[in-house]
Amino acid sequence: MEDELIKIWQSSPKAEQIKFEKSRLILDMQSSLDRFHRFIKYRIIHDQIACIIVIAGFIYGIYLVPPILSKIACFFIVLWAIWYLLQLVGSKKMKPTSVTLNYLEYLEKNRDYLTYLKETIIRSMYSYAILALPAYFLFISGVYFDGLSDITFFIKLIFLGIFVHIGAYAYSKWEVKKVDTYGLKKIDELIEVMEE
Amino acid sequence: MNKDLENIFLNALEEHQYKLLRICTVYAKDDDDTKDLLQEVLVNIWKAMPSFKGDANIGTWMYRITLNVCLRLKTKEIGRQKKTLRLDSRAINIYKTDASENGQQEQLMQLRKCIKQLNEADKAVITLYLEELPYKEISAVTGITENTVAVKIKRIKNKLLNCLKPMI
Repeated sequence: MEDELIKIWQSSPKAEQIKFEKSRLILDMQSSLDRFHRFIKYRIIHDQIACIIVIAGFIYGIYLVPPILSKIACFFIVLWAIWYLLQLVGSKKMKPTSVTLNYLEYLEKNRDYLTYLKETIIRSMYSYAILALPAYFLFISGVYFDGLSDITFFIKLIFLGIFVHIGAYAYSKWEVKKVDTYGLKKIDELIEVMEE
Repeated sequence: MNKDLENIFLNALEEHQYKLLRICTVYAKDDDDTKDLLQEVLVNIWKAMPSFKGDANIGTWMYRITLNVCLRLKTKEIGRQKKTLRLDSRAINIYKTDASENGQQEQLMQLRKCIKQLNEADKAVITLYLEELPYKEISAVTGITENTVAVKIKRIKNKLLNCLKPMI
């Protein structure tokens, strides 16, 4: 009865055949990533480009902007952007590329990668609130106290900073949820079933 | 890639192609998906060839890649993207011949249907078992202990036999 299963299973070659042309292989195909991995990939590229622009822009700002408070702010923003850029580079190293691991190891590597991504998003969320946002306020304060802008414009800039922060926070929360739902939850379930 | 590796790849492919195809069928939605999935598997095996150590069993090594690729690529997301692994500009073709044994075909379809209802981990274990891999090799491919493999297989087989009961 049990051998019957194997017999049924192995009966398929009679109905389906694969034809391979034996010759020199030319491989020109790029493996496509699924939607989730594409989303992560584009997010990382997008953030890396943003970091490079921020670093270049604010290094220039250190020399260009006259108020001393704004110069200090530029310096902090550059530090924050470099730190975040390094985090993003680190996430690439964590990405499991080998498919030759065993099934369980492969799942665990994927879990580690997604956990790292999730932590990077959370860290960036808090680092933005702790370092980048205060640096932004410092920057506009420098501009205001040096008499380069009036109070109305200064208040508008404060609100702009707050709204951008709320937007970035909500977006990051959504991303974390996505990593949890689409990746970590499923992988955890699989690992649990494997180890049962 | 050198000629030796290419030959190893092609010989192993000839020997294991049906087994890889059968494994892909339980992770795929339909015949087109199976074809896409198999192509992706073969591309990954080809890419990984330089890392293949000759002392390992190439069949086991190929199953390992196959399962990992099947897991990674959710079939529905492969969609109908056209992917071509070219062999001197000739694409891989999977074609069907006339099903001569209808009864057996029905049983096979039902078995695949039953396997598709299992969770991903159980699918991995049972497909390797049905390919008659020893427990030791199933353990090497999946990363779970031989004892757990044995327990799982017993449980899954019962499930499958129950699922197939009306047919066999």
